[in-house]
Amino acid sequence: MPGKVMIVGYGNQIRGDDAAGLVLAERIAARDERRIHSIAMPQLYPELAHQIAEYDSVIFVDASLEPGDENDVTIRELGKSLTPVLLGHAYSPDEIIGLAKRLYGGHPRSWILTIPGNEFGWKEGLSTATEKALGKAEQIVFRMLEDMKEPD
Amino acid sequence: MNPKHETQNPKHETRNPNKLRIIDPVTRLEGHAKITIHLDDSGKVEDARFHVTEFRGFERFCVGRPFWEMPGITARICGICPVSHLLASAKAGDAILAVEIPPAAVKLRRLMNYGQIIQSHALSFFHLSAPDLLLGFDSDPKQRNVFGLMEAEPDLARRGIRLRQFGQEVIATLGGKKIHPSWCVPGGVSAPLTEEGRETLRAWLPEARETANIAIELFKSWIDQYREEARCFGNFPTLFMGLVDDEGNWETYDGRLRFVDEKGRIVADMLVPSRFKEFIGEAVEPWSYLKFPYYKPRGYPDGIYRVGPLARLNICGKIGTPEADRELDTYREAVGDAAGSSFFYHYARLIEILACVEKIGLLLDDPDLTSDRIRAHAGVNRVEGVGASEAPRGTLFHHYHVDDNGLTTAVNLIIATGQNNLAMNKAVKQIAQNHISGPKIPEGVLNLIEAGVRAFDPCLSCSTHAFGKMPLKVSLIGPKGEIISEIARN
Repeated sequence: MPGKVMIVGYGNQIRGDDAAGLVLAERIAARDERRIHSIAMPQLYPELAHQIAEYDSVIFVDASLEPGDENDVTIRELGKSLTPVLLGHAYSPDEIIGLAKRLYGGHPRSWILTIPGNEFGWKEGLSTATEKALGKAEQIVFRMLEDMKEPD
Repeated sequence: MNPKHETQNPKHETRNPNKLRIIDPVTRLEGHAKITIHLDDSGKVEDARFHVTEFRGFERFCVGRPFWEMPGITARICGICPVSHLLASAKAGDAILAVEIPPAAVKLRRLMNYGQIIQSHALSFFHLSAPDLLLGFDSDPKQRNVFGLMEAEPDLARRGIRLRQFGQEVIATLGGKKIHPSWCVPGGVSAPLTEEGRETLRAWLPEARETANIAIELFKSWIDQYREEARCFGNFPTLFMGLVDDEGNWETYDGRLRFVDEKGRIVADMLVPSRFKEFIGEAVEPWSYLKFPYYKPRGYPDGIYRVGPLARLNICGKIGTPEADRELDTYREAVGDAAGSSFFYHYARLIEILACVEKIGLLLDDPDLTSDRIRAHAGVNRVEGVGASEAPRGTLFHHYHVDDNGLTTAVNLIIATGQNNLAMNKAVKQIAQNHISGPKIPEGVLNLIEAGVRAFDPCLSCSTHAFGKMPLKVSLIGPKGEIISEIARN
């Protein structure tokens, strides 16, 4: 059985495929799996770090700006690099994990799952290619969860 | 500069042999903030421009949508200030319905707006500005961020996150677990506060008040250290605009508009927000997709004005709560002639946080918050509506035209950050003139320009409806339009 798992999907619902992360998080939440807490948000906020610190594993889900199909879904474990916030207000997954570790003593394993985005115009709904990639992404998430073991 | 008519061509560009050709959108996916610094024949800084290269298309996207949907749609422009758009949009809808919303709904919307201001200002100060101020503008950018703040002052960093969390808690308690598009609606709101929610929020107040006061004391301890920055970070005469209540005091949700000048003299007062087009014009420059609002009676660009915390404290008589008014008095004694310096946006933000905490405390005692009389129902009674309220960064206007069925036929949003556009450009120019002479851009100038722009706490997402981080590129342009040097970050 995996430990406590959080899925964080984020993006903008009215910028086409940028919503891919949101949509996946919402679909996973709708499955109502007890072991998973899945949330969707427009962007990553610093207070998320406090929440994440209590989990054993965190998977961030976002759209990639590189177009592609289901073969282009990628998953990467997060490292220690920290990109400073500049003029924008958005935090990166690395920064949120950094906050979780340094401020709240949490040590979740964490990954960023990126789904290729093909259309980012002003619209709601995903492109066909990204929708298909979303299905692949969902499979990857649940395969990962099966592989995760409960911590000692 | 002469204002030009707005163009809808996203690839518009212009060439002038003596100035730089600007704006060929690199990508419509990630805008970037580009700054060009123009030198004259003697190598001195003649002009500087803060270009936003992301094309705004949001208003076009909304055409044809029912005005009922607009709060929910516009809330998705930005992840930091969705509530601001919810409120202004709902108010535009109120105008289309031609209703006066119930008093309880007004109070609930105000409560949400206070929460919004707290969370946004807390993010701005603790995460974006405090690292500059605590660690120094010249410190390594790799450290000059919230992680550097955590190393230096971990308790302050945690308090800042908690303070922002309080603001978010106000919003979530009212609107649901996330920003609920159907909570703030034309005609009112869809749900009152529960008693449980009231007590939850009340429990946060002591800590929030304490954190706000700690931050204010900290900033006051820095004022002398940063007199030079205060002198040249956007320190120039402009008008200031914002909402005031019937008595001319601090107002964030309703009221009338007031303009004051750099000496605090009232230039125009009790202006009706729905008639904003009579006194606010919007100019367009070919080198930026962000429009340039200005005060019409003074023309462009002399009608430059600033909005946001600095403006709100400049225009108001008092705030109306004891601790915030005490701090306002101290602020006015301390900033003196520098009340026009954009550097003091940081200070003003902190006083507004305290004000909002106090106002929330007062509101939570009001039994009206749990009333079920929270919505006025009507159909389309006007085909045009304007909603205005104070977003954290300044006055926000939503202006809709609808058909008889309530479908939008035209949408115009005047965003707070856009209204500070002229001032941000002038601030960048001032910093450049103070720190650049010759063909090279000193490394530290990038830090100072960042800090100068950051004082305004711009929401470039809102003003351009973009997403993603904002890389910063600074180019030094010679008198013949040639690029002499460039530096970039992120």
